[in-house]
Amino acid sequence: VAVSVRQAGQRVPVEATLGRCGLSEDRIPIYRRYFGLGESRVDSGTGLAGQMVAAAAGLEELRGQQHRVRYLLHARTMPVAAPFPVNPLHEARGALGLDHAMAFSVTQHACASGLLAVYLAGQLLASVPDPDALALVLAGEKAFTACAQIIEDTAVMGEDSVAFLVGTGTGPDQLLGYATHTRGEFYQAPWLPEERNAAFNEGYADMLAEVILEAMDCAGLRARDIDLILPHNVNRLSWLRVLKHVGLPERGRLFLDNLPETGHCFCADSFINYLTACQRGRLRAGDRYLMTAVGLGATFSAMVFQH
Amino acid sequence: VAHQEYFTDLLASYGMSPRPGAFDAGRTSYQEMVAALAPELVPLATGFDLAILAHASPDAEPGWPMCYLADAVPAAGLAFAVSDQGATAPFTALRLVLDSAWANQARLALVLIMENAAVLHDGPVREPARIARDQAVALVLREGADLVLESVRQFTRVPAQSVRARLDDALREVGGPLTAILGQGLAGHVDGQVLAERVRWAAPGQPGTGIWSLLAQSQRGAPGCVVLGDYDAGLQYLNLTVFRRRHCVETTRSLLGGDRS
Repeated sequence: VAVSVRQAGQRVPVEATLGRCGLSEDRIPIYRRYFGLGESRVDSGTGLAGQMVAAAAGLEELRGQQHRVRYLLHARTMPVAAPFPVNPLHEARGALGLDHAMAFSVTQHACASGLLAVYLAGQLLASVPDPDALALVLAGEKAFTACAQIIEDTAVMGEDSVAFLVGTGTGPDQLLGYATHTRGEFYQAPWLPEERNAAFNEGYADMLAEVILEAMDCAGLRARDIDLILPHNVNRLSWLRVLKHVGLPERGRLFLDNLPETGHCFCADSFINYLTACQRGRLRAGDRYLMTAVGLGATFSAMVFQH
Repeated sequence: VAHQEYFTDLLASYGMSPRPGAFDAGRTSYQEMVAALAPELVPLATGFDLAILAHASPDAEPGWPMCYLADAVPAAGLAFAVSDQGATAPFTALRLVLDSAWANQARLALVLIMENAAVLHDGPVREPARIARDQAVALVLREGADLVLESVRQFTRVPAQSVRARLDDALREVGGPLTAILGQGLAGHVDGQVLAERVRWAAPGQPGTGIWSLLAQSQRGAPGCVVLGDYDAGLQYLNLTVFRRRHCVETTRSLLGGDRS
Protein backbone atom coordinates (compact mmCIF):
# COMPACT_ATOMS: atom_id res chain seq x y z
CA VAL A 1 0.00 0.00 0.00
CA ALA A 2 2.78 2.43 0.90
CA VAL A 3 6.47 2.42 1.76
CA SER A 4 8.55 4.79 3.87
CA VAL A 5 12.34 4.76 4.19
CA ARG A 6 14.31 6.11 7.10
CA GLN A 7 17.91 6.91 6.24
CA ALA A 8 20.42 6.40 9.01
CA GLY A 9 22.41 9.53 9.75
CA GLN A 10 26.12 8.71 9.58
CA ARG A 11 27.83 7.74 6.33
CA VAL A 12 30.64 5.23 6.70
CA PRO A 13 32.98 4.42 3.77
CA VAL A 14 33.10 0.74 2.99
CA GLU A 15 36.85 0.72 3.65
CA ALA A 16 36.32 1.82 7.25
CA THR A 17 33.78 -0.92 7.95
CA LEU A 18 35.87 -3.64 6.32
CA GLY A 19 39.02 -2.51 8.13
CA ARG A 20 37.24 -2.49 11.49
CA CYS A 21 35.98 -6.02 10.87
CA GLY A 22 39.53 -7.23 10.25
CA LEU A 23 39.40 -7.84 6.50
CA SER A 24 42.85 -8.09 4.96
CA GLU A 25 44.04 -4.91 3.25
CA ASP A 26 44.46 -6.53 -0.14
CA ARG A 27 40.78 -7.58 -0.20
CA ILE A 28 39.33 -4.21 0.74
CA PRO A 29 39.67 -2.40 -2.64
CA ILE A 30 37.77 -5.20 -4.38
CA TYR A 31 34.57 -4.28 -2.57
CA ARG A 32 34.42 -0.82 -4.12
CA ARG A 33 36.03 -1.52 -7.49
CA TYR A 34 34.34 -4.80 -8.41
CA PHE A 35 31.48 -5.42 -6.02
CA GLY A 36 30.04 -1.93 -6.48
CA LEU A 37 29.91 -1.03 -2.80
CA GLY A 38 30.77 2.50 -1.65
CA GLU A 39 29.43 3.36 1.76
CA SER A 40 26.69 2.48 4.17
CA ARG A 41 24.78 4.50 6.74
CA VAL A 42 24.55 3.80 10.43
CA ASP A 43 22.75 5.38 13.35
CA SER A 44 24.94 4.94 16.38
CA GLY A 45 22.69 7.10 18.55
CA THR A 46 19.45 5.26 17.85
CA GLY A 47 18.42 1.85 19.11
CA LEU A 48 16.34 -0.72 17.29
CA ALA A 49 13.04 0.52 18.74
CA GLY A 50 13.86 4.12 17.80
CA GLN A 51 14.81 2.99 14.31
CA MET A 52 11.44 1.24 13.89
CA VAL A 53 9.51 4.24 15.18
CA ALA A 54 11.39 6.61 12.89
CA ALA A 55 10.70 4.44 9.85
CA ALA A 56 6.98 4.24 10.60
CA ALA A 57 6.75 7.92 11.51
CA GLY A 58 7.68 8.78 7.93
CA LEU A 59 4.77 6.79 6.55
CA GLU A 60 2.22 9.47 5.69
CA GLU A 61 -0.38 6.88 4.70
CA LEU A 62 -0.36 5.61 8.29
CA ARG A 63 -1.40 8.93 9.80
CA GLY A 64 -5.00 8.81 10.94
CA GLN A 65 -5.21 5.18 9.84
CA GLN A 66 -3.60 3.56 12.87
CA HIS A 67 -6.95 2.04 13.87
CA ARG A 68 -6.90 -0.08 10.69
CA VAL A 69 -3.63 -1.77 11.60
CA ARG A 70 -4.37 -5.28 12.90
CA TYR A 71 -0.86 -6.67 12.72
CA LEU A 72 2.57 -5.19 13.28
CA LEU A 73 5.39 -7.38 11.99
CA HIS A 74 9.11 -6.91 12.29
CA ALA A 75 10.92 -8.74 9.50
CA ARG A 76 14.16 -9.67 11.20
CA THR A 77 17.49 -10.92 9.92
CA MET A 78 19.50 -11.36 13.11
CA PRO A 79 18.77 -14.55 15.07
CA VAL A 80 18.93 -12.66 18.38
CA ALA A 81 18.40 -8.89 18.33
CA ALA A 82 17.83 -7.94 21.97
CA PRO A 83 18.75 -9.31 25.39
CA PHE A 84 15.80 -11.11 27.01
CA PRO A 85 13.34 -9.74 28.08
CA VAL A 86 13.97 -6.41 26.30
CA ASN A 87 11.40 -6.10 23.51
CA PRO A 88 12.10 -3.30 21.00
CA LEU A 89 9.16 -4.28 18.78
CA HIS A 90 6.64 -3.73 21.55
CA GLU A 91 8.37 -0.53 22.61
CA ALA A 92 7.81 0.65 19.04
CA ARG A 93 4.22 -0.61 19.09
CA GLY A 94 3.51 1.58 22.11
CA ALA A 95 5.31 4.61 20.72
CA LEU A 96 3.38 4.35 17.46
CA GLY A 97 -0.02 4.18 19.19
CA LEU A 98 -0.62 0.67 17.90
CA ASP A 99 -1.37 -1.15 21.15
CA HIS A 100 -4.49 -2.56 19.53
CA ALA A 101 -2.35 -4.43 16.97
CA MET A 102 -0.93 -7.91 17.41
CA ALA A 103 2.84 -7.54 17.08
CA PHE A 104 5.45 -10.20 16.42
CA SER A 105 8.77 -10.75 14.69
CA VAL A 106 9.21 -12.99 11.68
CA THR A 107 12.62 -14.63 11.64
CA GLN A 108 14.74 -17.54 10.43
CA HIS A 109 14.67 -16.52 6.76
CA ALA A 110 17.39 -14.02 7.74
CA CYS A 111 17.44 -11.22 5.12
CA ALA A 112 14.64 -12.96 3.20
CA SER A 113 12.26 -12.48 6.17
CA GLY A 114 10.96 -9.25 4.62
CA LEU A 115 9.31 -11.01 1.70
CA LEU A 116 8.06 -13.71 4.07
CA ALA A 117 6.48 -11.00 6.23
CA VAL A 118 4.60 -9.61 3.21
CA TYR A 119 3.27 -13.10 2.47
CA LEU A 120 2.28 -13.84 6.07
CA ALA A 121 0.64 -10.44 6.51
CA GLY A 122 -1.50 -11.15 3.46
CA GLN A 123 -2.44 -14.59 4.76
CA LEU A 124 -3.44 -13.20 8.16
CA LEU A 125 -5.41 -10.31 6.70
CA ALA A 126 -7.26 -12.60 4.31
CA SER A 127 -9.07 -14.14 7.28
CA VAL A 128 -9.99 -10.77 8.80
CA PRO A 129 -13.60 -9.86 7.85
CA ASP A 130 -12.74 -6.15 7.61
CA PRO A 131 -11.49 -5.45 4.04
CA ASP A 132 -9.85 -2.23 5.25
CA ALA A 133 -7.63 -4.02 7.76
CA LEU A 134 -3.90 -3.45 7.33
CA ALA A 135 -0.60 -4.88 8.48
CA LEU A 136 2.37 -2.64 9.15
CA VAL A 137 5.67 -4.31 8.37
CA LEU A 138 8.98 -2.94 9.65
CA ALA A 139 12.40 -3.94 8.36
CA GLY A 140 15.91 -2.78 9.17
CA GLU A 141 18.28 -3.56 12.03
CA LYS A 142 21.31 -2.61 14.01
CA ALA A 143 24.72 -3.69 12.70
CA PHE A 144 25.90 -4.26 16.26
CA THR A 145 28.62 -6.86 15.72
CA ALA A 146 31.13 -7.87 13.07
CA CYS A 147 28.95 -10.59 11.54
CA ALA A 148 26.17 -7.99 11.26
CA GLN A 149 28.47 -5.47 9.56
CA ILE A 150 29.88 -7.43 6.65
CA ILE A 151 29.10 -10.60 4.73
CA GLU A 152 32.44 -11.53 3.28
CA ASP A 153 32.71 -11.15 -0.52
CA THR A 154 29.04 -10.22 -0.57
CA ALA A 155 28.03 -7.03 1.20
CA VAL A 156 28.59 -4.34 3.77
CA MET A 157 25.58 -3.79 5.99
CA GLY A 158 23.73 -0.51 6.59
CA GLU A 159 21.11 0.62 9.07
CA ASP A 160 18.56 2.28 6.78
CA SER A 161 15.13 0.95 7.62
CA VAL A 162 11.66 0.81 6.11
CA ALA A 163 8.04 0.68 7.11
CA PHE A 164 5.31 -0.40 4.74
CA LEU A 165 1.64 -1.20 4.82
CA VAL A 166 0.10 -4.39 3.47
CA GLY A 167 -3.60 -4.74 2.68
CA THR A 168 -5.79 -7.22 0.85
CA GLY A 169 -7.82 -4.82 -1.26
CA THR A 170 -6.80 -2.95 -4.36
CA GLY A 171 -3.71 -0.81 -3.96
CA PRO A 172 -0.89 0.67 -5.98
CA ASP A 173 1.00 -2.62 -6.04
CA GLN A 174 -0.47 -6.09 -6.38
CA LEU A 175 1.35 -9.25 -5.30
CA LEU A 176 1.34 -11.75 -8.17
CA GLY A 177 3.65 -14.54 -7.03
CA TYR A 178 5.99 -15.69 -4.29
CA ALA A 179 8.50 -18.48 -4.07
CA THR A 180 10.93 -19.37 -1.32
CA HIS A 181 13.29 -22.24 -0.65
CA THR A 182 15.44 -22.93 2.37
CA ARG A 183 18.63 -24.82 1.57
CA GLY A 184 19.19 -26.39 4.94
CA GLU A 185 22.64 -27.74 4.13
CA PHE A 186 23.95 -24.20 4.68
CA TYR A 187 22.43 -23.79 8.15
CA GLN A 188 25.80 -23.00 9.77
CA ALA A 189 26.20 -19.65 7.97
CA PRO A 190 28.01 -17.31 8.44
CA TRP A 191 30.30 -19.84 10.11
CA LEU A 192 30.16 -22.40 7.30
CA PRO A 193 32.96 -24.93 6.96
CA GLU A 194 35.18 -24.05 4.01
CA GLU A 195 33.82 -26.75 1.72
CA ARG A 196 30.21 -25.81 2.38
CA ASN A 197 31.04 -22.16 1.84
CA ALA A 198 32.55 -23.01 -1.53
CA ALA A 199 29.46 -25.04 -2.44
CA PHE A 200 27.23 -22.12 -1.48
CA ASN A 201 29.21 -19.70 -3.62
CA GLU A 202 29.25 -22.15 -6.51
CA GLY A 203 25.51 -22.80 -6.38
CA TYR A 204 24.35 -19.30 -5.41
CA ALA A 205 23.38 -18.06 -8.88
CA ASP A 206 21.58 -21.29 -9.75
CA MET A 207 19.66 -21.37 -6.48
CA LEU A 208 18.59 -17.75 -6.76
CA ALA A 209 17.68 -18.10 -10.44
CA GLU A 210 15.57 -21.15 -9.62
CA VAL A 211 13.46 -19.33 -7.06
CA ILE A 212 13.10 -16.29 -9.34
CA LEU A 213 11.82 -18.48 -12.16
CA GLU A 214 9.43 -20.19 -9.76
CA ALA A 215 8.02 -16.86 -8.55
CA MET A 216 7.58 -15.70 -12.15
CA ASP A 217 5.87 -18.99 -12.97
CA CYS A 218 3.60 -18.54 -9.96
CA ALA A 219 2.72 -15.09 -11.35
CA GLY A 220 2.10 -16.54 -14.81
CA LEU A 221 4.97 -14.51 -16.25
CA ARG A 222 8.22 -15.09 -18.10
CA ALA A 223 11.52 -13.28 -17.78
CA ARG A 224 10.73 -10.95 -20.68
CA ASP A 225 7.58 -9.79 -18.81
CA ILE A 226 9.60 -8.41 -15.89
CA ASP A 227 10.17 -4.67 -16.27
CA LEU A 228 12.40 -4.15 -13.23
CA ILE A 229 14.26 -6.18 -10.61
CA LEU A 230 14.44 -4.65 -7.15
CA PRO A 231 17.18 -6.77 -5.64
CA HIS A 232 18.86 -7.28 -2.32
CA ASN A 233 21.93 -5.05 -2.38
CA VAL A 234 24.86 -7.38 -2.72
CA ASN A 235 27.99 -7.76 -4.84
CA ARG A 236 27.01 -6.64 -8.36
CA LEU A 237 29.16 -9.31 -9.99
CA SER A 238 26.97 -12.00 -8.47
CA TRP A 239 23.98 -10.37 -10.17
CA LEU A 240 25.46 -10.73 -13.61
CA ARG A 241 25.55 -14.50 -13.15
CA VAL A 242 22.01 -14.57 -11.84
CA LEU A 243 20.65 -12.53 -14.76
CA LYS A 244 22.25 -14.92 -17.19
CA HIS A 245 20.70 -17.92 -15.44
CA VAL A 246 17.27 -16.30 -15.43
CA GLY A 247 17.46 -15.40 -19.10
CA LEU A 248 17.42 -11.67 -18.45
CA PRO A 249 20.71 -10.43 -19.88
CA GLU A 250 19.58 -6.79 -19.97
CA ARG A 251 21.36 -5.15 -17.06
CA GLY A 252 19.14 -2.08 -17.42
CA ARG A 253 16.30 -3.92 -15.73
CA LEU A 254 18.34 -4.50 -12.61
CA PHE A 255 18.03 -1.62 -10.15
CA LEU A 256 21.33 -1.31 -8.32
CA ASP A 257 21.33 2.49 -7.89
CA ASN A 258 21.33 2.25 -4.09
CA LEU A 259 24.08 -0.35 -3.73
CA PRO A 260 26.97 2.18 -3.49
CA GLU A 261 25.07 4.42 -1.04
CA THR A 262 23.14 2.18 1.33
CA GLY A 263 24.95 -1.13 1.35
CA HIS A 264 22.85 -4.13 2.32
CA CYS A 265 20.18 -3.11 4.84
CA PHE A 266 19.09 -6.51 6.22
CA CYS A 267 15.48 -7.19 5.14
CA ALA A 268 14.87 -3.66 3.86
CA ASP A 269 16.78 -3.56 0.54
CA SER A 270 14.06 -4.33 -1.99
CA PHE A 271 11.65 -1.92 -0.32
CA ILE A 272 14.23 0.88 -0.21
CA ASN A 273 14.88 0.18 -3.89
CA TYR A 274 11.14 0.24 -4.60
CA LEU A 275 10.81 3.75 -3.21
CA THR A 276 13.88 5.06 -5.04
CA ALA A 277 12.69 3.47 -8.28
CA CYS A 278 9.30 5.17 -7.89
CA GLN A 279 10.96 8.52 -7.13
CA ARG A 280 13.18 8.22 -10.20
CA GLY A 281 10.33 7.23 -12.53
CA ARG A 282 11.64 3.72 -13.06
CA LEU A 283 8.29 2.13 -12.23
CA ARG A 284 5.27 3.02 -14.35
CA ALA A 285 1.67 1.96 -13.98
CA GLY A 286 1.27 -1.62 -15.13
CA ASP A 287 4.95 -2.53 -14.77
CA ARG A 288 5.68 -5.98 -13.41
CA TYR A 289 8.62 -6.06 -11.04
CA LEU A 290 10.51 -8.61 -9.04
CA MET A 291 11.87 -8.38 -5.51
CA THR A 292 14.58 -10.80 -4.42
CA ALA A 293 16.21 -11.70 -1.14
CA VAL A 294 18.70 -14.25 0.12
CA GLY A 295 19.09 -15.01 3.79
CA LEU A 296 21.98 -16.69 5.51
CA GLY A 297 21.11 -20.19 6.50
CA ALA A 298 20.20 -20.26 3.53
CA THR A 299 16.84 -19.05 2.24
CA PHE A 300 16.30 -17.86 -1.33
CA SER A 301 13.14 -15.88 -2.04
CA ALA A 302 11.53 -13.94 -4.87
CA MET A 303 8.27 -12.04 -5.14
CA VAL A 304 6.56 -10.62 -8.22
CA PHE A 305 4.32 -7.55 -8.13
CA GLN A 306 2.46 -5.35 -10.57
CA HIS A 307 2.66 -1.59 -10.06
CA VAL B 1 34.18 -17.59 20.46
CA ALA B 2 32.18 -16.07 17.63
CA HIS B 3 28.98 -16.55 19.59
CA GLN B 4 30.48 -14.96 22.70
CA GLU B 5 31.51 -11.96 20.64
CA TYR B 6 28.00 -11.80 19.17
CA PHE B 7 26.30 -11.75 22.57
CA THR B 8 28.86 -9.45 24.16
CA ASP B 9 28.39 -6.92 21.35
CA LEU B 10 24.61 -7.31 21.52
CA LEU B 11 24.55 -6.62 25.25
CA ALA B 12 26.91 -3.67 24.81
CA SER B 13 24.55 -2.15 22.25
CA TYR B 14 21.90 -2.11 25.01
CA GLY B 15 24.33 -0.72 27.59
CA MET B 16 24.71 -4.10 29.30
CA SER B 17 27.49 -6.61 29.75
CA PRO B 18 27.63 -10.37 30.28
CA ARG B 19 27.41 -11.44 33.90
CA PRO B 20 30.56 -13.14 35.21
CA GLY B 21 30.72 -16.72 33.98
CA ALA B 22 27.79 -16.21 31.62
CA PHE B 23 29.37 -18.27 28.87
CA ASP B 24 30.65 -21.04 31.14
CA ALA B 25 27.23 -22.42 32.03
CA GLY B 26 25.63 -25.00 29.76
CA ARG B 27 23.08 -23.65 27.32
CA THR B 28 20.73 -25.50 25.03
CA SER B 29 20.32 -23.85 21.65
CA TYR B 30 17.13 -24.23 19.62
CA GLN B 31 19.13 -26.03 16.99
CA GLU B 32 20.08 -28.62 19.59
CA MET B 33 16.43 -28.94 20.55
CA VAL B 34 15.47 -29.46 16.90
CA ALA B 35 18.22 -32.07 16.64
CA ALA B 36 16.79 -33.89 19.66
CA LEU B 37 13.28 -33.86 18.19
CA ALA B 38 14.23 -34.62 14.60
CA PRO B 39 14.39 -38.45 14.92
CA GLU B 40 10.78 -38.42 16.11
CA LEU B 41 9.71 -36.00 13.38
CA VAL B 42 11.31 -37.74 10.40
CA PRO B 43 8.86 -40.70 10.36
CA LEU B 44 5.96 -38.23 10.56
CA ALA B 45 7.23 -36.04 7.77
CA THR B 46 5.57 -37.33 4.67
CA GLY B 47 6.06 -33.67 3.88
CA PHE B 48 5.20 -30.80 6.21
CA ASP B 49 3.43 -27.99 4.42
CA LEU B 50 4.43 -25.55 7.10
CA ALA B 51 6.85 -25.62 10.04
CA ILE B 52 6.87 -22.78 12.54
CA LEU B 53 9.10 -22.26 15.55
CA ALA B 54 7.44 -20.15 18.24
CA HIS B 55 9.60 -18.92 21.08
CA ALA B 56 9.29 -16.40 23.89
CA SER B 57 12.93 -16.37 24.96
CA PRO B 58 15.66 -15.76 22.41
CA ASP B 59 17.89 -18.56 21.22
CA ALA B 60 20.90 -19.44 23.37
CA GLU B 61 23.11 -19.31 20.26
CA PRO B 62 22.73 -17.04 17.22
CA GLY B 63 21.82 -19.79 14.78
CA TRP B 64 19.27 -20.96 12.24
CA PRO B 65 17.36 -23.83 13.85
CA MET B 66 14.66 -23.79 11.19
CA CYS B 67 17.27 -23.99 8.44
CA TYR B 68 18.76 -26.89 10.36
CA LEU B 69 15.28 -28.44 10.44
CA ALA B 70 15.14 -28.16 6.66
CA ASP B 71 18.37 -30.13 6.56
CA ALA B 72 17.48 -32.70 9.23
CA VAL B 73 13.87 -33.45 8.28
CA PRO B 74 13.03 -34.18 4.65
CA ALA B 75 10.35 -31.92 3.17
CA ALA B 76 10.09 -29.57 6.16
CA GLY B 77 7.98 -27.19 4.05
CA LEU B 78 7.86 -23.44 4.55
CA ALA B 79 9.93 -23.15 7.74
CA PHE B 80 10.34 -19.98 9.79
CA ALA B 81 9.93 -18.57 13.30
CA VAL B 82 7.73 -16.11 15.15
CA SER B 83 8.91 -14.42 18.33
CA ASP B 84 9.12 -11.25 20.43
CA GLN B 85 5.61 -11.49 21.81
CA GLY B 86 6.14 -13.62 24.91
CA ALA B 87 3.86 -16.58 25.51
CA THR B 88 1.62 -15.35 22.67
CA ALA B 89 3.97 -16.66 19.97
CA PRO B 90 2.66 -20.28 19.92
CA PHE B 91 -0.89 -19.00 19.52
CA THR B 92 0.23 -16.82 16.60
CA ALA B 93 1.91 -19.86 15.06
CA LEU B 94 -1.36 -21.78 15.31
CA ARG B 95 -3.24 -18.85 13.81
CA LEU B 96 -0.82 -18.94 10.89
CA VAL B 97 -1.49 -22.67 10.52
CA LEU B 98 -5.22 -21.96 10.31
CA ASP B 99 -5.00 -18.89 8.10
CA SER B 100 -2.10 -19.89 5.90
CA ALA B 101 -1.70 -23.65 5.76
CA TRP B 102 -5.21 -24.98 6.34
CA ALA B 103 -6.75 -22.26 4.18
CA ASN B 104 -4.50 -23.42 1.35
CA GLN B 105 -5.44 -27.09 1.63
CA ALA B 106 -2.33 -28.09 3.56
CA ARG B 107 -2.46 -31.45 5.29
CA LEU B 108 0.42 -31.52 7.72
CA ALA B 109 1.92 -28.73 9.80
CA LEU B 110 4.53 -28.61 12.52
CA VAL B 111 4.65 -26.11 15.35
CA LEU B 112 7.75 -26.20 17.52
CA ILE B 113 7.51 -24.35 20.82
CA MET B 114 10.80 -23.74 22.60
CA GLU B 115 12.23 -21.85 25.52
CA ASN B 116 15.54 -21.79 27.27
CA ALA B 117 16.58 -20.52 30.66
CA ALA B 118 19.84 -18.90 29.55
CA VAL B 119 20.07 -15.26 30.59
CA LEU B 120 23.51 -13.85 29.95
CA HIS B 121 23.15 -10.61 31.89
CA ASP B 122 22.28 -9.55 35.43
CA GLY B 123 19.22 -7.54 34.45
CA PRO B 124 15.82 -8.44 35.87
CA VAL B 125 13.56 -11.12 34.42
CA ARG B 126 10.30 -10.95 36.33
CA GLU B 127 7.62 -13.60 36.83
CA PRO B 128 5.88 -15.05 34.94
CA ALA B 129 8.46 -14.57 32.14
CA ARG B 130 11.25 -16.25 34.12
CA ILE B 131 12.13 -19.64 32.64
CA ALA B 132 13.16 -22.46 34.96
CA ARG B 133 14.51 -24.97 32.49
CA ASP B 134 15.10 -25.56 28.79
CA GLN B 135 12.13 -27.26 27.16
CA ALA B 136 10.72 -27.94 23.70
CA VAL B 137 7.32 -29.16 22.53
CA ALA B 138 6.47 -30.31 19.02
CA LEU B 139 2.87 -30.13 17.83
CA VAL B 140 2.19 -32.12 14.68
CA LEU B 141 -1.09 -30.98 13.15
CA ARG B 142 -2.43 -33.49 10.72
CA GLU B 143 -5.58 -33.67 8.69
CA GLY B 144 -7.75 -36.44 10.10
CA ALA B 145 -6.17 -36.42 13.56
CA ASP B 146 -8.39 -37.18 16.52
CA LEU B 147 -7.69 -33.82 18.11
CA VAL B 148 -8.34 -31.07 15.58
CA LEU B 149 -7.19 -27.46 15.80
CA GLU B 150 -10.48 -25.60 15.58
CA SER B 151 -9.86 -21.97 16.39
CA VAL B 152 -7.42 -19.41 17.71
CA ARG B 153 -8.67 -16.25 19.36
CA GLN B 154 -6.24 -13.47 20.11
CA PHE B 155 -7.32 -10.35 21.96
CA THR B 156 -5.24 -7.21 22.30
CA ARG B 157 -5.45 -4.36 24.83
CA VAL B 158 -7.10 -6.58 27.43
CA PRO B 159 -6.81 -4.99 30.87
CA ALA B 160 -6.41 -7.33 33.82
CA GLN B 161 -9.93 -6.67 35.09
CA SER B 162 -11.44 -7.93 31.81
CA VAL B 163 -9.54 -11.18 31.60
CA ARG B 164 -11.96 -13.28 33.63
CA ALA B 165 -15.02 -12.21 31.66
CA ARG B 166 -13.31 -12.75 28.31
CA LEU B 167 -12.19 -16.22 29.35
CA ASP B 168 -15.66 -17.17 30.61
CA ASP B 169 -17.28 -15.96 27.39
CA ALA B 170 -14.85 -17.94 25.30
CA LEU B 171 -15.35 -21.13 27.31
CA ARG B 172 -19.15 -20.75 27.10
CA GLU B 173 -18.91 -20.44 23.33
CA VAL B 174 -16.92 -23.65 23.02
CA GLY B 175 -19.55 -25.71 24.83
CA GLY B 176 -19.54 -29.45 25.42
CA PRO B 177 -17.30 -31.26 27.86
CA LEU B 178 -13.99 -29.52 27.92
CA THR B 179 -10.60 -29.44 29.50
CA ALA B 180 -9.05 -26.03 30.11
CA ILE B 181 -5.27 -25.80 30.17
CA LEU B 182 -4.22 -22.46 31.55
CA GLY B 183 -0.90 -20.68 31.70
CA GLN B 184 0.59 -18.90 34.67
CA GLY B 185 -0.18 -15.60 32.99
CA LEU B 186 -3.81 -16.23 33.94
CA ALA B 187 -3.05 -17.12 37.56
CA GLY B 188 -4.32 -14.35 39.77
CA HIS B 189 -6.82 -13.27 37.12
CA VAL B 190 -8.90 -16.44 37.22
CA ASP B 191 -9.63 -17.26 40.81
CA GLY B 192 -12.41 -19.64 41.78
CA GLN B 193 -14.48 -21.66 39.37
CA VAL B 194 -13.53 -22.05 35.74
CA LEU B 195 -16.18 -23.03 33.18
CA ALA B 196 -14.61 -26.38 32.38
CA GLU B 197 -14.98 -29.97 33.54
CA ARG B 198 -11.29 -30.26 34.04
CA VAL B 199 -8.78 -27.50 34.63
CA ARG B 200 -5.06 -27.94 34.47
CA TRP B 201 -2.55 -25.21 35.26
CA ALA B 202 0.90 -25.07 33.75
CA ALA B 203 3.58 -25.09 36.41
CA PRO B 204 5.45 -21.82 37.02
CA GLY B 205 8.76 -21.48 35.23
CA GLN B 206 7.67 -22.61 31.74
CA PRO B 207 5.82 -19.58 30.38
CA GLY B 208 6.36 -20.53 26.75
CA THR B 209 6.00 -24.30 26.70
CA GLY B 210 4.12 -25.21 29.91
CA ILE B 211 0.56 -25.37 28.61
CA TRP B 212 1.63 -27.09 25.40
CA SER B 213 3.37 -29.91 27.23
CA LEU B 214 0.11 -30.45 29.15
CA LEU B 215 -1.74 -30.60 25.83
CA ALA B 216 0.39 -33.57 24.86
CA GLN B 217 -0.77 -35.35 28.02
CA SER B 218 -4.43 -34.42 27.60
CA GLN B 219 -4.44 -36.01 24.15
CA ARG B 220 -4.74 -39.28 25.95
CA GLY B 221 -7.12 -37.86 28.52
CA ALA B 222 -10.80 -37.17 28.91
CA PRO B 223 -13.14 -36.83 25.93
CA GLY B 224 -14.29 -33.44 24.71
CA CYS B 225 -12.56 -30.28 23.67
CA VAL B 226 -9.36 -28.86 24.99
CA VAL B 227 -9.04 -25.10 25.41
CA LEU B 228 -5.62 -23.61 26.02
CA GLY B 229 -5.34 -20.08 27.31
CA ASP B 230 -2.78 -17.61 28.56
CA TYR B 231 -2.54 -13.93 29.33
CA ASP B 232 0.36 -11.52 29.09
CA ALA B 233 -0.30 -8.71 31.55
CA GLY B 234 2.61 -6.60 30.29
CA LEU B 235 1.64 -6.69 26.62
CA GLN B 236 -2.09 -7.11 27.38
CA TYR B 237 -2.54 -10.07 25.06
CA LEU B 238 -5.16 -12.71 25.89
CA ASN B 239 -4.91 -15.86 23.81
CA LEU B 240 -7.19 -18.87 23.53
CA THR B 241 -7.15 -21.83 21.23
CA VAL B 242 -9.56 -24.71 20.90
CA PHE B 243 -8.75 -28.27 19.92
CA ARG B 244 -11.86 -30.37 19.31
CA ARG B 245 -12.02 -34.13 19.25
CA ARG B 246 -13.49 -35.29 16.00
CA HIS B 247 -15.84 -37.67 17.78
CA CYS B 248 -16.60 -35.24 20.57
CA VAL B 249 -19.99 -36.06 22.11
CA GLU B 250 -21.85 -32.95 23.08
CA THR B 251 -23.07 -33.12 26.66
CA THR B 252 -24.33 -30.61 29.13
CA ARG B 253 -21.56 -28.49 30.55
CA SER B 254 -21.11 -28.39 34.28
CA LEU B 255 -19.12 -26.12 36.48
CA LEU B 256 -16.11 -27.39 38.29
CA GLY B 257 -13.53 -25.64 40.37
CA GLY B 258 -10.10 -25.04 38.99
CA ASP B 259 -7.78 -27.58 40.49
CA ARG B 260 -4.11 -26.75 40.28
CA SER B 261 -2.87 -30.20 39.50
